[in-house]
Amino acid sequence: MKHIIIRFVFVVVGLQLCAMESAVPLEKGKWEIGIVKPIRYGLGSGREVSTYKLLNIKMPNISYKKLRWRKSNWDISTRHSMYYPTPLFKWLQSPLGMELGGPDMFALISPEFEIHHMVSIWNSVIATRKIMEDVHFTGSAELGIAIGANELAKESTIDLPFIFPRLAVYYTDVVIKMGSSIHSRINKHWGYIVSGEAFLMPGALGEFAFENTSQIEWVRHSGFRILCGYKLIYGEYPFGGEVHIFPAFDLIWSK
Amino acid sequence: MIFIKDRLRYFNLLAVAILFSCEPLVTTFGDSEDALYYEAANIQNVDYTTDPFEINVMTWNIRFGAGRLPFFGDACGDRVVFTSGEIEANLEGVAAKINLSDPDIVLLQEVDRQSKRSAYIDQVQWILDNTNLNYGAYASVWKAQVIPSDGIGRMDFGNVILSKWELSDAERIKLPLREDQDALTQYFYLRRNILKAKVAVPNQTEFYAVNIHATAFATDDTKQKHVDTYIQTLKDLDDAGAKFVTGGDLNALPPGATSIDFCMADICSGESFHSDADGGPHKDGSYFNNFINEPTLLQALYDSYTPAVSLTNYSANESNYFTHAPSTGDVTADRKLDYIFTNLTWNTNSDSTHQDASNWSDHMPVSATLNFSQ
Repeated sequence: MKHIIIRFVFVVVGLQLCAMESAVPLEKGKWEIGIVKPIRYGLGSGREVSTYKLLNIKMPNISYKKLRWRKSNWDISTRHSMYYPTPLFKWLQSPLGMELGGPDMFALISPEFEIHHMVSIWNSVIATRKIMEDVHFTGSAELGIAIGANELAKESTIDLPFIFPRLAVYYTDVVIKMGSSIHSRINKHWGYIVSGEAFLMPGALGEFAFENTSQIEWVRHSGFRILCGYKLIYGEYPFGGEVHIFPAFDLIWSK
Repeated sequence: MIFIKDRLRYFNLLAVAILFSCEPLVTTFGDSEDALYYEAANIQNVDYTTDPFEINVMTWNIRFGAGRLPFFGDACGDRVVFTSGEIEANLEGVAAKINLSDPDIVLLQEVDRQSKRSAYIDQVQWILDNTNLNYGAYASVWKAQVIPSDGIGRMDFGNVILSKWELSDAERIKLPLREDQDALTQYFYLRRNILKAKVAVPNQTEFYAVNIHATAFATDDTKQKHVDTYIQTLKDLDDAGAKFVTGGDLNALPPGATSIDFCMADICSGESFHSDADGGPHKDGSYFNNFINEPTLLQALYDSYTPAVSLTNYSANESNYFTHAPSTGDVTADRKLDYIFTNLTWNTNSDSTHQDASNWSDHMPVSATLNFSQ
């Protein structure tokens, strides 16, 4: 039971940062919110803003997506995101606020490391194409750059799935992400999403990670759907490569 | 609907297949399990012509290659994760000491093989590749994908038997868990063991090496249970007619030790302890009278088997035989925690307590020469 609870915590944290988005922005005034997916809000004129709400508590973040091109079943957007992870890193050094040597439970980064102010900026191109009725393909390429992270000790990495590749940019200064997904509706209520995402982390002590997410989608009505499936991760870490599988679950409301 | 069922079947099969390939968050162990075998990158010839046949045996708790660095867990320190340079510098000291003493069999405790705190260096392989030893067997004491406390992270450390001769039948024998911890702490805590392996010593058919690292910080009678299991393991070998050398870090004092309370010696800044006369509180791991008869816990071991350092010699000059110096303050050995025994005999006065090796661990190695002539 403890295995399950702790893995569930990891998957919730991880899915905060791994939602594969369509290139199509929400229409003006429309919004979407999930338990683990970000809050998205349509600004109109092919623009959308989003933020990972739970993560915002410790890692303020904002994304802006703009539709650049729409033609022949293709939608192509760019997305620009910014993250400020310093409070998260500091919190992970002492989640319960205790000092080193005390019962510093749940600390994932040793308090001995100094955490500086850091920012990461991500720029991506996202392309979505309707390849048949109710089947959409999305591909994306993303470049992440970190500013102010060069003094972070390389021994302070959190060598866990989900987390290691997503924080790698603060140790390598540059990370490239590439991904694709298929979103299909089988009928009025059922569908599925299959996606794959690769992380290239040149200079990190583990330079590659690949994540495959497969989820069944149940649409209760246009304003509510449930996603349920698994997330399979192959990752390289400072100790070597490893495979993990986790449940992947979300409840999504939209209007 | 059939379409959906097909898809679900596919997802389930894939999920189950991969789930079984993943290692658990925390590795737990059965009563008896196979140990992990190692070999040096270059196997060296062992040419023995001594008559009578004798071999040199050493035990050493090497403190995961941290030497005297200020680790937060046992040294009033503020460090948790060490660099590969720091660990390798200490391992070089460990290897140099082993090469100088040239033991044929080495029992090591606190050896990391895939731990974040020691830069993920496989210390079993590292020591094999940098000494005259050829073969190894490893049994995890603490193995988890992550220890969610103090930034410790991934952990795999344990007990090791190294030998110039091939090892077989290597067995990890489970020791009872501490019972003075809450369930969550216990789940992520150490799972101590006895490591037993048959050693292919020339002209010996049933010769074993047995390594133990008993609990250090338990405040209940867990240590008694560990020693009981240890004695039973040795008795089983003895009853079966096997010969053995055994030892390790028993975290217990010799019967008759002058001092049993090291709380003040181990005290860290900001801590407060009282003397034995006050009734405590005592610092975990520094007080050796937590349960009835703890000061004489090892008497049964001394009564049954031959120690490398006899109680007579120990009592005559205790400080010569101290094997542990707390990592706080000055490096002055002040207690004996490490032992070697056999059901054969030791060459007279062949024992050494290597207090000159105090830079490479908070424990110092003990060695002696085993004689097969009787």
